[in-house]
Amino acid sequence: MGQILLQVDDLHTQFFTSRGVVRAVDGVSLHIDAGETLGIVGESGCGKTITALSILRLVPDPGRITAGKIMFRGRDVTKFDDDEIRDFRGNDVAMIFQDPMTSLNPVTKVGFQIEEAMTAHNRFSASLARTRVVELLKRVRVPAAESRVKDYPHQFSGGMRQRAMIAMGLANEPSLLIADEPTTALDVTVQAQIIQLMKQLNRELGTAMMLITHNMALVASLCQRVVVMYAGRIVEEGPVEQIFKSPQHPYTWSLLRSVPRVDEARKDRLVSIHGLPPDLTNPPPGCKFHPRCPFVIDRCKIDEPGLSEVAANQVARCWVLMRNVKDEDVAAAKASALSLDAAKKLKAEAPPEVGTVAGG
Amino acid sequence: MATAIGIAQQVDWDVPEQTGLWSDAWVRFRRNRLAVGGLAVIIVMIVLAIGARLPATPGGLWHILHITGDPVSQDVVNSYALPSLQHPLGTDILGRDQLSRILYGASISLTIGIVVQILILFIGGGIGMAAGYFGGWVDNLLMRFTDIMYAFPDLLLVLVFVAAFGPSFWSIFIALGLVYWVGLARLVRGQVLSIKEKEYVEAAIMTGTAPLKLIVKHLVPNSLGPVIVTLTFGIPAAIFTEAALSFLGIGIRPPEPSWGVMIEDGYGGIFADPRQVIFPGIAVALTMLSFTFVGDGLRDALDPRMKR
Amino acid sequence: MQAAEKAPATAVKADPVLLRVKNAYKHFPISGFGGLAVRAVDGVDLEIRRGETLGLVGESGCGKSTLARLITALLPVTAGKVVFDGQDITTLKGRRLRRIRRKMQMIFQDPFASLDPRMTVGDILQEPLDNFSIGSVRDRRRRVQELLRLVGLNPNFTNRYPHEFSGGQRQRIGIARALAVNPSFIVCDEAVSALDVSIQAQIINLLQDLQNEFQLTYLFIAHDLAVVRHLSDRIAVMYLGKVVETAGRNDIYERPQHPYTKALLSSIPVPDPAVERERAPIALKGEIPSPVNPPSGCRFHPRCPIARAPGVCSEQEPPLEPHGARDQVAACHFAGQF
Ligand SMILES: Nc1ncnc2c1ncn2[C@@H]1O[C@H](COP(=O)(O)OP(=O)(O)OP(=O)(O)O)[C@@H](O)[C@H]1O
Ligand SMILES: Nc1ncnc2c1ncn2[C@@H]1O[C@H](COP(=O)(O)OP(=O)(O)O)[C@@H](O)[C@H]1O
Ligand code: SF4
Ligand code: SF4
Ligand SMILES: [Mg+2]
Ligand SMILES: [Mg+2]
Repeated sequence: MGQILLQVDDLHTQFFTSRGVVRAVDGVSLHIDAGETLGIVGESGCGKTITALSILRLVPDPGRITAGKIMFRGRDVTKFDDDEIRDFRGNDVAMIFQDPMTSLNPVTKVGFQIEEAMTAHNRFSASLARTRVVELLKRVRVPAAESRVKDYPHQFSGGMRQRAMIAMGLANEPSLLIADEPTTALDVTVQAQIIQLMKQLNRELGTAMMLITHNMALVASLCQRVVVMYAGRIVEEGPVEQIFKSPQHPYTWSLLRSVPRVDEARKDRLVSIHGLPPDLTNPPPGCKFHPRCPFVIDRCKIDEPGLSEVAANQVARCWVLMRNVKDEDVAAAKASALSLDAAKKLKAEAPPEVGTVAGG
Repeated sequence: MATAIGIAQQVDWDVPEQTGLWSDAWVRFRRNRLAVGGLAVIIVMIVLAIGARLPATPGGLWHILHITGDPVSQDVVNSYALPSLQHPLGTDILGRDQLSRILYGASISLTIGIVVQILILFIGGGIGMAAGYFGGWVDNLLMRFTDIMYAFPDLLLVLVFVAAFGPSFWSIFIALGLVYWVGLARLVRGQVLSIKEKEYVEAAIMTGTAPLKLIVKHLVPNSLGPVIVTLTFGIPAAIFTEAALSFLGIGIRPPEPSWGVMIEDGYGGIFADPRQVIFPGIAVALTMLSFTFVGDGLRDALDPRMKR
Repeated sequence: MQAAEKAPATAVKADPVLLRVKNAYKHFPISGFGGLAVRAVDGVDLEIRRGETLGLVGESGCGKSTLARLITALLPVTAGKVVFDGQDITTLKGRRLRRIRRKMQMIFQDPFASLDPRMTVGDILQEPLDNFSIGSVRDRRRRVQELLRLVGLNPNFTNRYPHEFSGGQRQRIGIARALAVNPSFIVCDEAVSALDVSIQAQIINLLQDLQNEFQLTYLFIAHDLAVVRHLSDRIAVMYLGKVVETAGRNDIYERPQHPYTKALLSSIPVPDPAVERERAPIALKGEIPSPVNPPSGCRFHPRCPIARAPGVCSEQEPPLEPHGARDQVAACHFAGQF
């Protein structure tokens, strides 16, 4: 892989709310090489979207980047002035969102919106922009592109709207495309088409991609490298193959085992992570994952581990690491059971078979 | 064994005191100072109004206790008298005691305000609920009827009804109730139509809830908020409509004053003595404000999501 | 785990089928368009056996939820029968219909919309017990607490309101409500779709545990085929208002007979980079046609990669017939021939 395109260093983004300071992104460092596909995974609320919005300096109020550097091709995005940042968004980096309907203007024709995206950045002349629209729609495989440019967004299906969004994102030939849950709102068959499209575009155009998702299968399908986030921090990072084969952080391990696979006959149970993600105004001390971690040791409750190299190109933030966990502990973590007591008691108290129906 | 599905480890078997929407709403209501203040004002007014009518002599209890004069005795020499010990709010053009007239007026105006809203609640709420709940031809029929009612000028309809029943205190209530339910019926129908589509209603049906209970436990509590607000705004409206009727000569006949009548009468002499308008005006404004506070308080209290 | 093993030994009736949908239709008329209707469910035959989990999959808008509402009698059928435990429930009304709900419950999709925001959790869970006059008031309160405990919530939460809970916790309350009357059959309509992955795993495990503990029969509707395969014994695939294939969960994956099933399965990514490199999804042409005016013959023919159209596929509607493995049926003129 080639040169570094984007380098994020110790990024902190916080929301100053009446309940306190929400540490949505808490010291995130990551990089993307030119032409690379990077996945960012984690449960909802762990800071994936805010990381992406921070890169574009689009953090909504009352949020603010409080520390950190975002270097794009050697220049610090956090220091860009208004003109530079406008140029940066769309021209260098484009973002596509989860719900295409909310990001497309419902009263403007799709073709014109894509055209506007180009003319706004003075990259293409007005006449060139107009001819490129059809070309772009063809590239994202919208059927009958010539006639559909004149359609309004509501005349497009969900999948086609997402394609149009991708076309708009690609309009100025950015070197990085950030996709936030691009297929979550779509049906499986349409989702498959969009994944296919993104793969091809990455290959044909060499656009680097940052894919934000909670769907592990999507990452396996699309990405070369993956970053796992938990409570505003990166807990593990590495090449996709390696992380899927030998995750070292217990959170990554659980996440991978909490989803069933369609290509496997039923194995006993899914690993469920008990409890809920922490409140980011008041995260737990020590390792942020410790209240939910099945392999917690005393040290985890006091000291927070740093990111350390666990294999070639793979880093993880854990005192224990999965390779050091005893097999029986792993087995115990997998075998989570219903409270049988409660179930038996309920059954004993079960009402008689035939009840009278309350009238009314 | 560790209960990995997150079963509360420590089970405390003290059965907590069961609370429900209404008891919780009362707790929340009591925490709302404005609402409690409004309720207190309304209660005081009701007590004052009752005292003005009981015992059934002019001026009632308050006159007997020499707190006020009486609302009917004229004393033309003393017209437009300034406030004094004998007449705490002064007198009107005929020298009648203002305070006692306002308190007597309270008994009429509050009754009109409240009783008419209750009538509207039952007629409008009932028709709206039936239309929304049953839908189909029932809805069509009821809503066409509502549209027809809506098409007539309100005051004209009231006049027709009062004429039909013969002018009396009660016929005005009924006439107002029969005319002003239309807005509420539409509101309730809209509410019910949208609530009926909610998954929780489907879930209630699925657990065997019978239609009547479904209405009482799910549809009514969830549509009550805007209804309460509409009704509280309806109270001053009813008070003024009664005044307009008096003006047209079919409302409450003098010498028995209502607030509306007092204000209408006061207009005539507003330059001679603005107090004739100001005092009953304050009474109406205070009533309206109190009911608004109580209404807002009730609406918030009935919404568990409100953080006071 | 086989369906046969799980069938309760105490079942008195010999009939292994708990619920039969016979040629069910549900058309929603479009007002103002004389005679036009959305044909949401358009001739469905289905069997659900005692103690099994039947998975139901299909793209959005294909009629899964509508079928669920026909099965639970929340919607009246346009035509057809739903026979539950030997009784046609489509003809039941009022009190007799409510009595069926003692045995048949539903878990809803949206954990935020399916709980009345103005009722406490205690009231929500007690409502079914009140409706069926189960036990004394004191018993009911206890049972509410037991139910909360069963689904992994603190039994002292009875006085809290739904908005005080997270999505996963709310879904547990929805499950507890469904269990309150001890039903034998539960319809789960996208019961885990709205939940985050880790929470989803908790709920899936809970559903499995409850099934083992109480010998429940599930109809499990979802668009996530991986979850459906994990939970189900048999899987039915729907397309445009019809069931196009039904088979055991392994057969349907290993030997799909209908081209739509095959395309659907091939489009699901697997959380394994090695497998993903090899996977070649079958791209379907175009989009799902409108359910107002479904295509002639086999309604999949405009998108089918092996269709003979014009020809038999666009002219004759293929019946649901045995193909492939034992217990496998598919509605295709060229089943398995791809
Ligand atoms: N009350 C209704 N009136 C008109 N059309 C309806 C109604 N309910 C459902 N439909 C239509 O019936 C079809 C099937 O709907 P259904 O909700 O069963 O789909 P589904 O497969 O469950 O989809 P999803 O996964 O999006 O929930 C859709 O085209 C839908 O628009
Ligand atoms: N506008 C906002 N105000 C306050 N907190 C916010 C806001 N937007 C996001 N957050 C918080 O930031 C954290 C990360 O959010 P986000 O990046 O959107 O999560 P994800 O994309 O991983 O689902 C969450 O705890 C969320 O509650
Ligand atoms: S540091 Fe400790 S608590 Fe944190 S993930 Fe590792 S083992 Fe678990
Ligand atoms: S019947 Fe024809 S069109 Fe339909 S699925 Fe089979 S091959 Fe395809
Ligand atoms: Mg997000
Ligand atoms: Mg659905």
